[in-house]
Amino acid sequence: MIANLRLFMRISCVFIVGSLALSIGLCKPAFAEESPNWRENFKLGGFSSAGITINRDESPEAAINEISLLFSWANDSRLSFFSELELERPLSVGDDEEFSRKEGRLDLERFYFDYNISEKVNFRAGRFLTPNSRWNLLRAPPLLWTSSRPLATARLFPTRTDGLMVHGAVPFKNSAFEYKLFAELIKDQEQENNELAFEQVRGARFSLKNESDLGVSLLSFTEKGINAGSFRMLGLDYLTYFKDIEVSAEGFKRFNTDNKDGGSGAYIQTAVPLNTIGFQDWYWITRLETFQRPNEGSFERWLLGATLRVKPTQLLKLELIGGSGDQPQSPRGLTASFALFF
Amino acid sequence: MHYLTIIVLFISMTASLNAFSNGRQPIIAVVVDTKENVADLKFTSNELRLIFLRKQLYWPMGRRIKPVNLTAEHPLRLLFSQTVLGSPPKKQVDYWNGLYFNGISPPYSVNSEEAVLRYISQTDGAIGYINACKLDDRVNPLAWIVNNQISMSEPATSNCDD
Repeated sequence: MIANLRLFMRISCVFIVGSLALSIGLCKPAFAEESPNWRENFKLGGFSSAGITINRDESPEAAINEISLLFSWANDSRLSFFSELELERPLSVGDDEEFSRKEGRLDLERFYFDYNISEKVNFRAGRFLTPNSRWNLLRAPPLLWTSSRPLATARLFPTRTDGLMVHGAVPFKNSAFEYKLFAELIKDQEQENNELAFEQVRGARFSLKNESDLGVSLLSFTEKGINAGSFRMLGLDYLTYFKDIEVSAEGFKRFNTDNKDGGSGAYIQTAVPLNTIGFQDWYWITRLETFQRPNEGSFERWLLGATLRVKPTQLLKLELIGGSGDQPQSPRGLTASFALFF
Repeated sequence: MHYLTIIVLFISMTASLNAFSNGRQPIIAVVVDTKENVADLKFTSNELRLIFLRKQLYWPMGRRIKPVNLTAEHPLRLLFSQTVLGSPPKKQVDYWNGLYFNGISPPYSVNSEEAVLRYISQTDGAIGYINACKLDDRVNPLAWIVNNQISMSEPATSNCDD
């Protein structure tokens, strides 16, 4: 089963890379007689980020954090396809001033087909981001004010799911009510060294999008490893604007089905535009975090940062992170990074 | 965490504002190709919003909706965007970046109202908007935007100079 899944993933990668090659025109002459709209159905794009980190207890490091390719296909039918292929940390240079590619890893982040029955009912099959956190659904560096991720959005639940989803949007007053119901069908066999393992993932997300976005998510899953057990999780997320200041917050509470401690986490973040004091396109970022996992203790983090929107698709970020407790996923220190969509 | 740190963090969570204004506004007509059966395409103002936010992707009969925008600086785009979507294009950057991350592109954009008319008349399932004074026999109007209000019925006055 595991071998088959790996083979499937490899074939998928080959398929995507092959498709990418086609879409960027390597085979143009062979398709010269096709409809002129043939290539309009394919879209290729991506994003990347690079940065320098000076952490409190580690050596300074510079790295290309990722190069991700986004590939989609949609024609006039109700079927569409989307995939994201990520090359993680393809290049890094540390204290020894030696370039290294040993951390480089190719990962199929997303790979799914959508079939539209109506606006209210769509089916998705494949690998998708687990839709139980706003941050997790928009986790691309050019979309985020900071390069560091709140611990609560990274270590309490599976960040992606291989399975089926039913989703849709229903007009509601002057906005849209969106829902997502999903279940894991295939176990994700490709675990990184520090990645938590989850299975039997099922859940739902309901969100209302207007001037403010409000989301509620429910999740049920089994965690493997040191905190092995079955959990249910409630998540809440909120985003609003107050006089151009973006305020976002998320909170998660896990309940262990054996009545043991389940863990919890939350953050609140503001992005204040600094144009009123003469810094056009600069934003002042502040974040407070709390995080607690069974057998790991609890941590607090604070973040102060300044982010420049260089272009609509490019962000330059400077951030200082402090707080209590050591947590490898969220080191304390200084980070400068640049992220862009291409 | 020190109290001083908490105080500094909360002080840094506050700030600024801004506004919007305009004079005599043109009437905007939301249009589709004349081949379309307008009776089949009836929608509410909220559905028009969802179409141009790319949240509603299909017409009732199952064809893909292909919305077309004027460029972000075009005065008609600014008016349409503010009335229908509730914000100017510049404020929608994060939204469109978020959809791009999920494989959905913003509406195709063109430079002029003549280009909107051509795009709609040559593209199945297209919908766009022009100044109502420039309506011609290539398109059918579906809705109007008059004085920052979306209306499904034709306005009594035209606001056209001739």
